[in-house]
Amino acid sequence: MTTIGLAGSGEIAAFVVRQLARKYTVRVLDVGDGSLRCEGTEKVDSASSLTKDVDIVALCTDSEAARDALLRSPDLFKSGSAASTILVDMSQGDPDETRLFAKDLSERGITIVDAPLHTENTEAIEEASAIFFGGPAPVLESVRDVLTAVCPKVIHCGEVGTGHAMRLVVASIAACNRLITYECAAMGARNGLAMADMATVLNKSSGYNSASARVLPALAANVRTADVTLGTWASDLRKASALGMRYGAPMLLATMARSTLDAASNRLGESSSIDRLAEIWEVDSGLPAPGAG
Amino acid sequence: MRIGYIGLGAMGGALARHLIGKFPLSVFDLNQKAVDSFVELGATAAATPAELGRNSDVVLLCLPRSSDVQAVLFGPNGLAEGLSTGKIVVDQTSGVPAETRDFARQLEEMGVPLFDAPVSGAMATAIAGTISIIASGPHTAFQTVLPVLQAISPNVFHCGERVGNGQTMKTVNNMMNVSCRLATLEVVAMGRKFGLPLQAMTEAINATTARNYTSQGMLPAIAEGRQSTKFWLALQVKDIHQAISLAAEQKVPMPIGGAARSILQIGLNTLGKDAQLEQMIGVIESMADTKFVGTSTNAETGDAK
Repeated sequence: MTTIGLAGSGEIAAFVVRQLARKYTVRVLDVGDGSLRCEGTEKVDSASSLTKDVDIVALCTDSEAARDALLRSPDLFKSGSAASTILVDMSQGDPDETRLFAKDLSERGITIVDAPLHTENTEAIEEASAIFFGGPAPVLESVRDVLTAVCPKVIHCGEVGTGHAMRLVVASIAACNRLITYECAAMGARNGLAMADMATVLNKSSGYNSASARVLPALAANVRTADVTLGTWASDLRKASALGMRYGAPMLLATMARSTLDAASNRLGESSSIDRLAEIWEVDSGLPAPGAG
Repeated sequence: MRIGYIGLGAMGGALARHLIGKFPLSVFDLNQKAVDSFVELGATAAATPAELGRNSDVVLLCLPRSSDVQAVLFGPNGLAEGLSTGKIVVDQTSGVPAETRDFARQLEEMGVPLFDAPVSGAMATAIAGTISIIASGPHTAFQTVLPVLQAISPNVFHCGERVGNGQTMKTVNNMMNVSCRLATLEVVAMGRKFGLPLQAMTEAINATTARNYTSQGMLPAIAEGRQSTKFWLALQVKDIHQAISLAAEQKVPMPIGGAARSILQIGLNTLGKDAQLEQMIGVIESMADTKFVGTSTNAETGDAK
C-alpha cells in the first residue's frame, strides 16, 4: 500500500491528512499545534523519519516560516531510503520562492512540485474547490491519485510555481466576489430590498458570482457557507498583492480587498470564519444583525 | 391591449421588437430612422408622447435617464397629457428610484399606476428574448401588464409593491457586475504578467469559488478574440454613479465599488464619450502593461518589476 509522509500545520493540513488517511497509510510530522492527529496515522518527530521508506512526501503548512524551515532542512530525504524523491508542496507559498526552492532542491536530486488546494468549504470539497498543480506532466500523473483523494478536481497550470500563482489569482478573485457581494447587498438592503429577492434576481442576472450564489441565500436563511478563516484569506491576499507589486500589476480592487480582510481579521480575530465578514458590513452599514428582528 | 413604446434606442428597440405582431403597437422616438424601422414592421408612429398615450392602454418607456422620463411624461405634448384613468405606465429606464417614485405619485393622482421594470443582461439576451426584467410596484397593475412583459422575455421578477425597487435591484446588479468584472480583469492581468496563460486561468477560475459572470462570459470571449459586451461606457459610468449615490444616501460604505467607479471614470476620460464598455479590457491591459492574449509578460521575458 502507498505510504505518504506529510509535514504540516493548520486546518487545511488537517483536512488533507483526513482525506489521505481514508485511502493511504499516512505518516505525519506536525509542525504546528498538534491538530494533525488523526486516527490511523503514524506520528513522527523529525523530517528524516518522515521521509524514510515513504512513496510520496507532501508539505502543507499554514506558516511560511515552518515551510521554509522544512524545505531548507538538510534532514529532508536525508536517509536516502525514500521510495521517491518527489516533494509535493500543498502549502500556499510564494510562486517565485517555490521556483527558487525547486532549483536548489534539484541539486540534491529532489523534485519539488506545487499543488495548493483552494477551498472555502471543506465539507463541500467537490463543488467549487480545486488543486492547482505546477510541475512536469509526468510527475502529475504519478501523484494524481493522491491529489484526487484530497480533492477530485486537479488542474495542471504549467511548470513549478504556477500552481501557487494560480491559487493566488483564484483566491484574490474569490475574495473580491465575496466582499463585493457583501457591500452591494448592504447597499440594496439599506435601500429597501429583501435579501431573498436579491438572492433570486441577482443570481439570475449579470451580477451573478460564486459568492452571491452561496452567500445571499445563506444570509436570508442565516446559515454558514464556509470554514476557512479570515487569517488565511488575508494571508493569501497579502501574497497576491506582493506578487502584483513585484510584477508591476496595479490590482486596485484586490489591494482594497487585502486591506479589508486585514482589517476584518484584526477586528474579529484571524481564526474567525470568512462568513463573519457579514457582521462587518451589517455594523458598518447600520443594518440590523440577522435574527435581531 | 394596445401597447405604446417610447424610446427605441439600442436597448428599448430590442425590447419593443418582441411586441410586434403580438399586440397593436404605437411607437415614439426622436430618431426618425428608428421609428421608420418599426413602421416597416407594422407598428404605428405617434407624432407626440401625448398622442401615443391617447392611443394606448399600456405605455412602456426605455430612456437614457430619469431626467428624460420627466421630460417625456410632463414636458410639452408629454405622455401625461394623453393618459386617463385605467391606463398603465411601465418605466424600463435604468432610472433613479426616488425620482421614479415621484413620477408614480404624480400619475397616481390621475388614476394612472406607474411601475418600474428595468432590464438586466447583455444586448444579446435582449435580442434573444431572454433578458431579466426586474419589476416592482402595485401588484394589480403588474399582473395586468405581465403578458406584455413576458412577450419581451419569460424571465420576469417582481420585487415588491414599492415602486423603484426594480431600479434599485438593477443598480445593485450593475454594481456587482462592474466590480466583479474589473476585479477579475485586473487580477488576471497580474496572472498574465507572471506568465499564466489566459485559458488556464479561465479554467481554474470557473472551476472554483472565483467564478462569476465575467469569468464565464468575457474571459472566454477575449481568448477567442470576440466581443462579449455592447454597451456605452458613459452609460455604465452613469449607472455606477447612481449606485454610489444610493449607497451614500444610506451611508453605506462601498470601498471596492468606489475604486471600481474610479477605474471606469479613468477609462471614460482616457477613451472619450463614444467609448464602449468592451474597451475597458484595453484600459486594464495598459494599466498593467500586459496583454491578455499574447506573450508580452514580464515573466516570459524573465523580468520582475
